[in-house]
Amino acid sequence: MTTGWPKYLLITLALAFLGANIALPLAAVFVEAFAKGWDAYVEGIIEPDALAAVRLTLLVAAIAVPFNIVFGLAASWAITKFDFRGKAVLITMIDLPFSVSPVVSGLIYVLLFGLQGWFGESLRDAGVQIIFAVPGIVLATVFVTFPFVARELIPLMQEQGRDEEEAARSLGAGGWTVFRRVTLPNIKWGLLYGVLLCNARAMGEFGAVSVVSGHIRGLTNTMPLHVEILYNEYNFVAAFAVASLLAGLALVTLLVKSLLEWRFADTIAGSGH
Amino acid sequence: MTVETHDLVKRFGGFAALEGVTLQARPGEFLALLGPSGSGKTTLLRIMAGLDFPDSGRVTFDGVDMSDRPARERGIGFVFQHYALFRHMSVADNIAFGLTVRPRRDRPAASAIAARVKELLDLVQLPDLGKRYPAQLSGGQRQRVALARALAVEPRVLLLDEPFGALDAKVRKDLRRWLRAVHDASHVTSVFVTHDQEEALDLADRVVVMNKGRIEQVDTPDAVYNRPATAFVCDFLGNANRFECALRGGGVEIGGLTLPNAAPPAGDGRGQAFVRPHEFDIAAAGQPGIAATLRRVAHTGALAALECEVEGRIVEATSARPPEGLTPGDALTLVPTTVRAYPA
Amino acid sequence: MATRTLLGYRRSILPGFGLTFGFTVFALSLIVLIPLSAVFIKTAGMGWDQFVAVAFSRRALLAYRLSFGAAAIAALINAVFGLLVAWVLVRTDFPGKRIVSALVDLPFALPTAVAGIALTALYASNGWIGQYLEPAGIKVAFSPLGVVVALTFIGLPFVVRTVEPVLADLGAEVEEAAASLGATRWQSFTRVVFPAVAPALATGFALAFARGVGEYGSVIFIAGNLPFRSEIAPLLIVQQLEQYNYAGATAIAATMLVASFAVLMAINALQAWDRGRREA
Repeated sequence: MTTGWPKYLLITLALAFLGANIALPLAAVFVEAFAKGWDAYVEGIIEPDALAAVRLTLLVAAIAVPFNIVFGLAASWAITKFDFRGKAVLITMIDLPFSVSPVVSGLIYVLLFGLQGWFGESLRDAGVQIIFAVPGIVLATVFVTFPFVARELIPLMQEQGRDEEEAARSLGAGGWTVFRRVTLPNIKWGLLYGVLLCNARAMGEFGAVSVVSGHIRGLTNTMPLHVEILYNEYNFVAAFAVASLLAGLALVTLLVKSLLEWRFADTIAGSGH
Repeated sequence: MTVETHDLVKRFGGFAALEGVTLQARPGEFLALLGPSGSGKTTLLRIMAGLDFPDSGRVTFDGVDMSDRPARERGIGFVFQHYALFRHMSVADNIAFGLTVRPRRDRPAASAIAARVKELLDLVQLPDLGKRYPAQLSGGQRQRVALARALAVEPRVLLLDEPFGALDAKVRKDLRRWLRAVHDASHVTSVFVTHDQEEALDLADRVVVMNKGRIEQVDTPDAVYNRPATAFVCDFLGNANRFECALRGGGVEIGGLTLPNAAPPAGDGRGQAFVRPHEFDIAAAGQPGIAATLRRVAHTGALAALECEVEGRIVEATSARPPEGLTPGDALTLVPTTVRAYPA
Repeated sequence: MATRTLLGYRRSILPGFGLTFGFTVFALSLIVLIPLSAVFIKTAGMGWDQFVAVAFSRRALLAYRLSFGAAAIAALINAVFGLLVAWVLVRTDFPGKRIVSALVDLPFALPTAVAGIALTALYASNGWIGQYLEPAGIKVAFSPLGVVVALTFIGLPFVVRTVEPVLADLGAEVEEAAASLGATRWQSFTRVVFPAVAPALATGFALAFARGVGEYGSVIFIAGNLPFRSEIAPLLIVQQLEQYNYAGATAIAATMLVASFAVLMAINALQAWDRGRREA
């Protein structure tokens, strides 16, 4: 029980910390982006290399996110609907990418597919380029976002148990029908929650993608990489303009995430990430 | 110690939890706050404790104004509904907590604290469980530890919020007897909140019946049960049947009979009458009284419970000697022996 | 059927175990396990002396010290303020609380590169905050202090989101119980609240620390990347790669991986201990 001024002091302290640590950086992005007015802002965004970066970012997310949805559904189905040994180990391994430095996440693919990598020569002979090309960027993005959907669904489906699926089976429903008519409606909001976070990370990943991309303007630059290049060229307005798009994406993600948490708190596992 | 509240008002947003509550708990008294959920009884208890503060009104202990003092300065013992035991502390550490947080100059020596803990563990009949953790105890045992913890600081008043609410029926009854015995030995002024009328009537010296943030009646268990002051109290205590009636010249007109009113006198006019199940005589159909149709007879030991229908509503009557040969569908007459009626 | 008995798999009325389990293990191996093992196989092939020469050179040691040191300091700052923020979010009510609560997660959602340039803009000598710190002799941007600032930004939600549910689960009642027994606010915090949330706080600290050690995007803009002074370990890996020194990059990566797996194991142990304590 805390009443009176100590409570307000603590609230003030917490808000001051959040203001300096969270709100100010967020505000800085937009203020810097509009530092030279609307025209300069728009120019930074509609410039061809910037648009190419947007397109590449969307393409990468459009591949990585669906892959991780399929993986997340398969993994959580296998883990929560069946009993087998080594389950805990499997869950830990799925979480592994979270504890690997983004730079190392990129490096591992360079070691495999880079020119001096294990498969480097055979790939070159076959005329396939993975590192410093789009496939490498997709691979690195899939790696860093690998656990997002699965780790949202596993606790949720664990809690929901198997009774409903088993009841549907006993009533004669086929496997696919059980999944589509019974499981999916129960987990749809949790799934959306996981997809949301997965997508935010996929579009925003920097370290891993930076290692495998090669930074070729207009070709292998994603939006975060494009921000870095512009920033290092002291083109601050353009850098912050592109950054503001990513910040906007982050805000939309937070908004939808909060709405899901308020509206469907009971059908989202809500485990912190 | 005398605990008094003076005209307490407390609102949560638009909801009025207390609307002018004035009350006195006498020294050594065991007082029950009884009422349905939302009646304000828990809010009243928390304000007495200093865990909540009223919008207006005062709380005094032996005449000393306590209204602005926080809980820790009031010298109270509070037993929480879900016990609020500190789960990272052993039972003994939980009980000792109130003594160990005292400023150094008031704090008993470690050996004195240990002795006090042992004494309390004996009192709550858990002498060997001092080293256990709350998670390792049963519900009833946790309840006893919570009481021991509250008693350890030798409170001037003991406040209990639904002390048996989270326990099953059997444990509840045993603990009730035991709590009354503990109270009789300690003579600490005690106030407890309950929504269970049986608990309040069985345990308390006096019962405070609350409804919608107001006090309906404060009296002994016998008085609130047999002489309810308001229709609400009559309806809430005991499982009374309700009828429309007319009040005239101090009498109650019901089912063609005029009966004396067992409730406080009221003026003439329309009224609502309450008759408890055991306050009926069963007579043959056509006699003066309330015409009813028998639906079901259940023999529960010594008494027979008759479920009757009166004008489309179910009325319950119990009788030690029901007329022989009655079967469901038969017509009969219910003759009230005691009626309490209040203006509608 | 041999693998099924090996896994202890029991026949189930539900279909799809073979398909989903197979795909899970296949994808996990292909995307995560085999690529990760490449780091260790490559390291094993390079010989002890060469490994030590690269992974434990003076420059690398200073980079580890900065990465681990700054991550520890930032995680500590977050442990203090994260607990405060969690407490305020759980126990108090104020206008706009939902928005504040949502914004706590911003570091999860904001791309690290964006955070990096925004923080640099704030703490540069002409920035909103830097212009007041610089005259006071405090240089944040392009110094080790900048690394701490960036990692503090990144780590906050880990602590808040780990502590929050435990604090909510603890309930306001125990704080009231302490107060009713005569405890001061400080005693109620140190003897009741803190011991109860300590394991969660330690877990949050470890999560923030682990993330901070490997963090790259938000740091490189603000750190200034001066060799021997404000150069973090992940940056060293990138530099080795840019010089096509795969062996050097791998040696440092292997060292960092071992360290982060150790932290991961510590986190798992902490969480298991906490769960055991809460449910015992």
